[in-house]
Amino acid sequence: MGASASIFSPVSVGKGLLLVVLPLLLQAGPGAAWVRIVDMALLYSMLAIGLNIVVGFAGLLDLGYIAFYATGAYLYALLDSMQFNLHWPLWATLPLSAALAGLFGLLLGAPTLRLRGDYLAIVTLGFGEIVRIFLNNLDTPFNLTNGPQGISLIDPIRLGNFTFSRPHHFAGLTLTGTQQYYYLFLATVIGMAWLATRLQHSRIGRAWAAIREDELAAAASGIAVRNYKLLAFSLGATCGGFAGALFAGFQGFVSPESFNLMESVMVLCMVVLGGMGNVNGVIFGAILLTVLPEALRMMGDWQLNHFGHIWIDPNDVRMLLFGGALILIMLYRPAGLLPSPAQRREWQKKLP
Amino acid sequence: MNTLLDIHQVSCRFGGVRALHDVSLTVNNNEIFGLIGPNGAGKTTLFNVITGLVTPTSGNVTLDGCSLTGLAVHDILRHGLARTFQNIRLFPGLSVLENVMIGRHSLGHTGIWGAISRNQRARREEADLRDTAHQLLQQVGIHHHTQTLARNLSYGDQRRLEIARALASEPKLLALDEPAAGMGQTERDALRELILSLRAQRHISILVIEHDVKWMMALCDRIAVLHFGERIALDIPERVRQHPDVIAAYLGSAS
Repeated sequence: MGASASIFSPVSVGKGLLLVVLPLLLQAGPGAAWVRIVDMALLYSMLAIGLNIVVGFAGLLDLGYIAFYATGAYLYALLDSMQFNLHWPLWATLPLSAALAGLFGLLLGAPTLRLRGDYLAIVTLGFGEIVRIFLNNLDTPFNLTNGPQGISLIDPIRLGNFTFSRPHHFAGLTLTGTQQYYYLFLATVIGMAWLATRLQHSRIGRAWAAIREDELAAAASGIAVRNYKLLAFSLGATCGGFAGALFAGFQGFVSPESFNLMESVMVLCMVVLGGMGNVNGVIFGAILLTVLPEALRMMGDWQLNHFGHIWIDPNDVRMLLFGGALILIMLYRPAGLLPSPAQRREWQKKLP
Repeated sequence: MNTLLDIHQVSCRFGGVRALHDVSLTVNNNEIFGLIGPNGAGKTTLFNVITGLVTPTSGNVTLDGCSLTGLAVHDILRHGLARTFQNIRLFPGLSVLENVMIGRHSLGHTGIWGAISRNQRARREEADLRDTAHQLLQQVGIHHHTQTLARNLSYGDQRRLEIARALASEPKLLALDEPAAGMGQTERDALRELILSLRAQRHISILVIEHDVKWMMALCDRIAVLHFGERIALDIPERVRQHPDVIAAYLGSAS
């Protein structure tokens, strides 16, 4: 109720306008590279929203989430590239990628239903690695994935006659490919966030929360724990697959390397850091953790320009700073930067 | 039919340990039935058999004519048996209201589509759910705390919330596992009043496990006594109190 009443308030309209003009501002200001970075941030937001369903809503620790992103990306790559000379339309590829990832979610979910906490984390971690290693090695006996070289020359995303990678003119403005992708991704993130929020505040979301809080009590309250866990895994994976397909079209190239364990850990960090269980929080986490490392990279160029020499290589200290930031946030904001309302209440109670 | 819960010749072994041996008892409609016994008598095992956590080695349990043996925990609730736990198991990070709403999960129908579209049916279900949850909280006497997180409730109120959550599924039989554990005398008396009033208002049967024999005598219609996995007595409280085997069992365990 509150959201629909305030959607036309000056603040919301201002925020909306800012989101609309952001790629234009970035292009004019810091440069085209930043539009690309923001595009990536939006892709990661989709992943964070998906993983949040599994980790934040249902409380199942998943360390192999990136495998679903890989599934979606590779299916898009196989169906829309020179690999098999297939060029399927988007309306077929995108749902298929999401559905295949969702199926993989079920496949991962089914054998791990009895596992909790650390044990579940280990199995999901293994699953993520298995998918990556398969992609790496499926160039024999017949060439499916092109092995470590990955698949290149993937078709850009095309809606009818509109190709997102090509510049278009709108009302005297020329939009570049990355800018057009920005609007597509933004719309997707808003859609996914809306869906996730609707699910969270429903009978289904409450069942997930119950499982997260106490699995036995949830079962004793009549919740079919197995089905709801599978649903969480599958819906989370579907988001990942969807994002993966968009990523493949956007990037034009996929290789197993883009889907390593570190990526899974990054997405998990976005969820935990942003605020587990809060959709806005995890989007914030995703944007923060995509933009910060890039900003840090800029520090290298800055040193080069001002001192003619790189004193501190950003690549060397990146992980150090990142780890330090994580520790600080977990110490001072254990529920994340934007905790869910319930956790926020809890947190405020503890303050003197 | 007057019998609601029928426990028929239930035996349960864990390796060489004979936790339950040939235990039979019945709980009638609208009855408050007590289960007592010294430590290790098998009360909790029997409770776990009824609620589906433990599958008996032999024997079976039926509720209102339906066999519960071998059913999953959540299916047993759907058949009309709701329980509370010895060491309270709420959803600590959720609000009091949400706890009760989750207790009514089995009576809801909203699926993914209803959750996303919030169609009229889903909205009505949600509104009904809230109303019922408020009523239940009123009935157990903690309606002034609806938005508090469950973990921030006092111990006694947590017990009450757990009962409200169990009642939310509209059970035929409410099973309470040591509901008065850790309570002071005043709280115990209040809890007994609550249980009696629930039976009067909701016309349900209630099965209670408890250590406090005196408290049980004033609450239950009939009491069964377990000792070393066997049922040594089953009668109205006055006669159970004077039963020689019961006296021996309790004195024996005390020495």
